[in-house]
Amino acid sequence: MGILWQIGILFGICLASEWLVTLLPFAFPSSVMAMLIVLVLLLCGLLRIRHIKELSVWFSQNMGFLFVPACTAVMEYFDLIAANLVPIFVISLVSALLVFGVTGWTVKGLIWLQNKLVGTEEAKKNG
Amino acid sequence: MAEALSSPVFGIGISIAAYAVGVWINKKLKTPLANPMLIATILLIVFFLTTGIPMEYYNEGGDIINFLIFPATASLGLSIYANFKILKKNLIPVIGGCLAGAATGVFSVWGMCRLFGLDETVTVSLLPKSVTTAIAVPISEQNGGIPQITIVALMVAGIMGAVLAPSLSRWFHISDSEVATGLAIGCSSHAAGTSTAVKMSETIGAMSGLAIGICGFFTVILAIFFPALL
Repeated sequence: MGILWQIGILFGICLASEWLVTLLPFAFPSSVMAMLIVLVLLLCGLLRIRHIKELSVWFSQNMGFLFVPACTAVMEYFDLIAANLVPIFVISLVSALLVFGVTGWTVKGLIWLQNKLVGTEEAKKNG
Repeated sequence: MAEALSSPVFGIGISIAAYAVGVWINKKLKTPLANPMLIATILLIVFFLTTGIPMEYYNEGGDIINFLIFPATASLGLSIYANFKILKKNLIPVIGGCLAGAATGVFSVWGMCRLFGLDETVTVSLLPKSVTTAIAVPISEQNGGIPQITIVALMVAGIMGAVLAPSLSRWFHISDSEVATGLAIGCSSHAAGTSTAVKMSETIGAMSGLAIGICGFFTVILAIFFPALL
């Protein structure tokens, strides 16, 4: 599908999400709502991969670039960030390590549990 | 000169130039530490500090690029959909692991922010730090945080994961499970970590990519309760 159509579809979804979040009783980012709408429409088959493929691939390949202006704006908050640099650094690092460990161990535990349950069921079936 | 600088073309052009240099250095050095976004940011900050050109001029173009984050985030729905087959195959470990990871991310940050006595603004800026930038930044903004603090935290977590992911999976004794390793990398170090995960193995890369979306989704749900945590 032509790029202009793809832009139109994706922007249309963004517009719908801007409206939908106003209906929610809690704060919800409209961009994340738009992401969920895209996922739901794809799952329902109302939207096909080809409808947004090229544009989505371009966005995912250039996501880093899109954040350059936001990162550069760090300059405007330099004092605040400098004043809290050590806590920000420590918190980010320690939390990332904890998330890594907890996720890894939970997944390993669940796979072990799943295999055990499947094994028990098969043993029951085999008498 | 001021007229030329205040055109949006200036901000967009200089951002592309800085990012192109970042990509070039990244290709030359071949290390996750040489992140193109980080290099471009450093170059631009040095440029504006040395030339004294006001940021208002840059923002004319920068705001246009910023706006594109919205449809770019929407398009992430497609990458989650593309990984749906792997999700179905490993449904319970993926959902359980990502939920545990997202909750650990939010509550560990919250606990440490209390410990360091950080104020509300900094705390809420750090709370969504375990998900990809495109999801973390709107969560931070929505709750009154400063996106730039969120980005600094994301970079620390992302680059750590990108550099240490293979060692971490051995230290935590999960290297025998590709599913666990991939999900742990995606949940803790999002896109930057995934760039390393892809090099480790196809399954680890796919799991890491999947974790970005699922962990992001759970963090968005948890974010609804951020005001209660503050």
